[in-house]
Amino acid sequence: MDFRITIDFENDEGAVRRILGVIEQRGFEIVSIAMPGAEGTVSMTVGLKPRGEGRSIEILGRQIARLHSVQNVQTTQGQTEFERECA
Amino acid sequence: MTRPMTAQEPSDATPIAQGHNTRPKTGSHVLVEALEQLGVEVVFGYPGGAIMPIYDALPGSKLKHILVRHEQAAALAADAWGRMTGKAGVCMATSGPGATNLVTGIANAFMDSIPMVAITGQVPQAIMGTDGFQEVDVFGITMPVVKHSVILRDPSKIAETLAECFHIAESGRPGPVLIDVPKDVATAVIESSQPAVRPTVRARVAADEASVKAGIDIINSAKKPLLYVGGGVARAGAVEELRAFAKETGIPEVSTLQGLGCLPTWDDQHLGMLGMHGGKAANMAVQESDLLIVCGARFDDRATGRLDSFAPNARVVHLDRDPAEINKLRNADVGIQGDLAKAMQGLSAARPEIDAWCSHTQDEKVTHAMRYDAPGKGVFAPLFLKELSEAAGDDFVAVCDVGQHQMWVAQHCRFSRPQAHLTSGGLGTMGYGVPAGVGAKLAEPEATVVTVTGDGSVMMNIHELATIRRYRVPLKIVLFDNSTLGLVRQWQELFFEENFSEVDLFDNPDFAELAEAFGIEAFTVTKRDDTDSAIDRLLSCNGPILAHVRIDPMENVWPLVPPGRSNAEMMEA
Ligand SMILES: Cc1ncc(C[n+]2csc(CCOP(=O)(O)OP(=O)(O)O)c2C)c(N)n1
Repeated sequence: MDFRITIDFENDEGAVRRILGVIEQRGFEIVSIAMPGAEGTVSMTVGLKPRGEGRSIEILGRQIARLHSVQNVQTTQGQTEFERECA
Repeated sequence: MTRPMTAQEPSDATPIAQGHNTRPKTGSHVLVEALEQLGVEVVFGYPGGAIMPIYDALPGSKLKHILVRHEQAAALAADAWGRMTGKAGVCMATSGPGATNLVTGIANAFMDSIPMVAITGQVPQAIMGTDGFQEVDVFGITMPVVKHSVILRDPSKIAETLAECFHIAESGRPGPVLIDVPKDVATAVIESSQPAVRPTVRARVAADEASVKAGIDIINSAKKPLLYVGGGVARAGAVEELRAFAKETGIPEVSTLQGLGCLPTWDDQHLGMLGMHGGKAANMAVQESDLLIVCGARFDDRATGRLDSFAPNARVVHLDRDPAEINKLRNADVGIQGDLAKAMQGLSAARPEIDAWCSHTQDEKVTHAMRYDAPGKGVFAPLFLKELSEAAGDDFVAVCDVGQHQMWVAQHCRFSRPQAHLTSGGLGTMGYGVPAGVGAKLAEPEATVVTVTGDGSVMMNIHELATIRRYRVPLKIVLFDNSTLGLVRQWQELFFEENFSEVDLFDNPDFAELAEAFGIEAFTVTKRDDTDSAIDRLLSCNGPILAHVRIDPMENVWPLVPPGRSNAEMMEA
């Protein structure tokens, strides 16, 4: 099954690489990327395929959400609540 | 014989010639000042080309720099500092090979959620991307193993960036943060700078009330509830609340490798460590339980064994600061995301009726207690470690390397608190023990810090004996020498039909002589009867000391859950 994930993030140096890195490392194949050019906060939509069984898009969303530059994540299965980490 | 220290040798961090006072203030001075303002006391590092401007700003600062002999050791020592203090340990290295040498230590901190700030020198921005001398993309290399990272490009933002990076490393689920500093930023002349101020820390966020209430209800309805405690409890500063919860409810507990010490290991309710080398009482309790209350643990495969047969009858209440851990590997019936201390306080209202379960788990604990009546006259490492930790008492801190000896420490030592057991859990980094022992002892000088290592592991960072000697770090080292890569040998024996491949270390150096060559007192122990005197000598020594303890090469760690099997299928001696 294919998924789509939309990520709003601060486009700091390395932010795009970091997000795509998490997606691939956590067991998903990237099949499409759309990121309208912008500075500051941008939105990126990534089409994904899980590699093998047992990969949850919901958990991936939360793993992306904990990246420091990320502000909001929406998956095809709903929105991941994101709270910027504070002690 | 121990080589005496001569008058010419440095006895402490060597002050470099003063003289920068007349030179203009640079980005490096701002960076060093920012470290001071952020409360950093000790920096572990090693200089080189791209980071020379920062080293130039160190003399005269309040920072104590510990010159290690390999950058990996700087990162591992900083990791131990982070584990002991809860504050980010700081390491630094030059660009290129210095930076890549830090990577294992950074990954180690990442896997165990340890606060760390790693500072690397980088070639000037104009050279970046041109394959300059000692240019590597450490920002990219470390991306999968840091909580966050920055290339510090703007000299006017040095203090602000450092403050933010320390905050990120230490807050929420802690982790390592990398700051890559191009040389032109480090040398930029700075007219004026703001002090480094940490962002305001928000009050602890209470866990959601509805899920706490659901947690209480499910606990009250359980007949066989069990606490499954991981390293997240200590990282979240929730040890007291966990202990109070355990006392109020009477629920028995098992812990992961990282969770050991959250309940004192001698506490009746502590059934032991679960998992691959866990105790039988602990693993059986998990398999029998009808409710797991998972606190700051992540269902790691070393703890769960075969996941689909782990705790087959149990519902799950999962408490974690990091929402990405809840439902990751095992669905939670109730997930409680938020501050662990607050969540534990909330759950303490539960009053399950579990007398029969408690007495059953206690009986099992007695039935399956570890045994120390090993045959033969050689030193029995589990007994040695048990007696050492008991003799050292509540001040005991074990810093382990990786292998059989690491598992024996976890199984047999007495730990009064989580900081009493520093171990490379997630990454399993051989070479951790000696540099991390240095970091731990510097972080807590009053503690009785003992590095427990093996003859394989110790050689991975043996050069750090020079650091111990240089700063006269009174670290105690117990080196179990079985002349083999014991844990690998054990697996080859059990799971590879005794096809022993590349595990024989017959040609080890004489470790006592080697330590003495580094200027460290050392002695060799070969007989079980000498255990007590060896422990006395170790504990009464005021300076650094190494006990080279020869043990049987064929000794194995028991019990053992074979890889890929259920925790119910434990192999025993
Ligand atoms: C850096 C690194 N390389 C390899 C391993 C794999 N490994 C795990 S335990 C072990 C053997 C450790 O031998 P030793 O330090 O002598 O301890 P023992 O098991 O004999 O107690 C090895 C090679 C590792 N964990 N870390």
